[in-house]
Amino acid sequence: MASAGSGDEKAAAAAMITLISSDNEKFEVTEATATLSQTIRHMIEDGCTDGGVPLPNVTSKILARVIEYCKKHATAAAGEEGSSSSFSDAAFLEVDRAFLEELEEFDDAFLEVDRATLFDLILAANYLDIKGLLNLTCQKVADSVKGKTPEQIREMYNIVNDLTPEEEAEIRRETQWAFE
Amino acid sequence: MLPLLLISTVPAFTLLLVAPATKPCAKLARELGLLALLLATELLRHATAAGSRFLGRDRGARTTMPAPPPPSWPKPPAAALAAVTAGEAAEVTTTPAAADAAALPLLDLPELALDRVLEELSPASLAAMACVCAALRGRCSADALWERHLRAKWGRVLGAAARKEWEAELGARAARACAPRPARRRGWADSLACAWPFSWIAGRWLNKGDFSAAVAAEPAPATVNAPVTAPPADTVAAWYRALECGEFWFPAQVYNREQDGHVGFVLSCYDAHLRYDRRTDTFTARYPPHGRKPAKEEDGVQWSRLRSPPVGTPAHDLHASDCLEALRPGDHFEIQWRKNKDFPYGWWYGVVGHQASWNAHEHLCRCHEDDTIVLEFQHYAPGSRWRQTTVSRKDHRETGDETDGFYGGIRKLQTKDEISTWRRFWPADVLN
Repeated sequence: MASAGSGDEKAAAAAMITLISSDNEKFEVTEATATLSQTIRHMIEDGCTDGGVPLPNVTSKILARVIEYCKKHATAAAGEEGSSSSFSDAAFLEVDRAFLEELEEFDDAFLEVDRATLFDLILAANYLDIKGLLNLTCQKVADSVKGKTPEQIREMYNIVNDLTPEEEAEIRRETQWAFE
Repeated sequence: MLPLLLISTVPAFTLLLVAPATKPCAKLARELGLLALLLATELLRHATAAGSRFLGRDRGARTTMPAPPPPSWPKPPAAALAAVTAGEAAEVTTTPAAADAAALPLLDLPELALDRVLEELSPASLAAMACVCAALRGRCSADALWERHLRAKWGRVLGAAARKEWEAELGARAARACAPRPARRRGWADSLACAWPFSWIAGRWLNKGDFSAAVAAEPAPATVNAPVTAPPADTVAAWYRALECGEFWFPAQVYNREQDGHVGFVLSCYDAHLRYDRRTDTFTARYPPHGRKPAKEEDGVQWSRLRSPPVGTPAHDLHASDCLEALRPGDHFEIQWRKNKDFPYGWWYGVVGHQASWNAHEHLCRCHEDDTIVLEFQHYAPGSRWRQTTVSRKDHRETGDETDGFYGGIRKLQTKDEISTWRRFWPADVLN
């Protein structure tokens, strides 16, 4: 999340924000971490974060995971920024690549969750408007149907086939090429 | 609402059709009536479509509602599927099964998230997803999703001409669908009736300046509502499929045609119609006939030998050169050339050279002021009759004769990309 960093953000890095989950658990996070969420960023900009930010749509279990993600990605963004001035180009590229690799490993491990958690994470990412997390989790769902037949997808996601036989025959005919 | 509308309008339609048309005035009145009816139905159709979208009464909305304990519906076997007639369409046999605890409501995802998921799917996965249920069928047919795939895979070789021919193909298909009508004299209102289903398609396609002008806002409501007998062929998905399956010969240009047999086509680019072969990931090219010779076909044409035509000039037309004033020695160009006037033009690569008198003093060269432009084809040996030609800067149109062929319009190559693409085909040996 290289785009998340800006000058005033660094200055306000020490400022803490309290997030309150649906089950009333409180989480103290830095502003840099919290503002990975566009929703919270706007709340901060509007100055309505005193006394904590209630998130009635997110449970403490999911919020903890979301914060874990944001912390890591906020650190990575800050680290990238800091490194750019103090290293030569080659060293910077090296550090940059190390960061990206580490981040990728983190993301992979982060996605090692059951499907229910994955869906809750998507809902939270959507609600909190965290683009990186939304992309990451949606990509995971997309990967899950890769190479699957329609029947397997229905089974995986418990989707009712409400196509009439004619409709199904027709769409099968139209998409036949994809199954050859 | 739509079935209701059809039921209410069909009798009126039939009445109009059976009304005797003996007198010219009666015929005119009938046709005017038909026209009015068509306009009215189209208007109502749009209104109902908009209305149902607004009220969220389409099938997509219904299936995304949290369903009661979801039974798993086994796919009817193919034989049973074929046996089912249109009348029993709504009936699908179900067997109750224990709800899968691990299963998750993919369709309950927020719009944005589901869109993101669908955007990440490969064409094959998107096609599989479209077969899952009615809601996904609609969503996975969205033009915006397929535009991305179309652009990614086909964007480089498809030009405006390809799109135009695809539209014509759609028109022809529609005409075929309209054809088996009772044999009676067709009035202009009938022709209009035939064209009518495509009025909105024309609006969608013709407004597209380029692929990026996708109609993303409208997830093709007709896909879900269309009658079963008429698949919506106007979608980007349908175009993608037609290309992918080699059902559609699209116009493009091929570098070094007949690569294996003909050294005579080196560093040329010819118009052709191409059909994709998924199995080999290559194309079959069909070149327009050279005079009275039969049309040539070439198999196994690689992606790298294709380009979308950079200008809209048809193969038999002289291209209007607009760069003659600007051409300087060293400029890269391509020029139309044909063996004789019955043949289609091909485009040939070359570089602007110097007048013989300036060759020794290139730094003093005033070639750009000369009325004659020297065109060089340096892959031919010095002295070869194909090595060099000249054209007039002021009034070049087509020059040449039956022996050396005819040189037509010139276009200056503007981008490094274009030049390096041509240079890729540079022959290993100098040609004579």
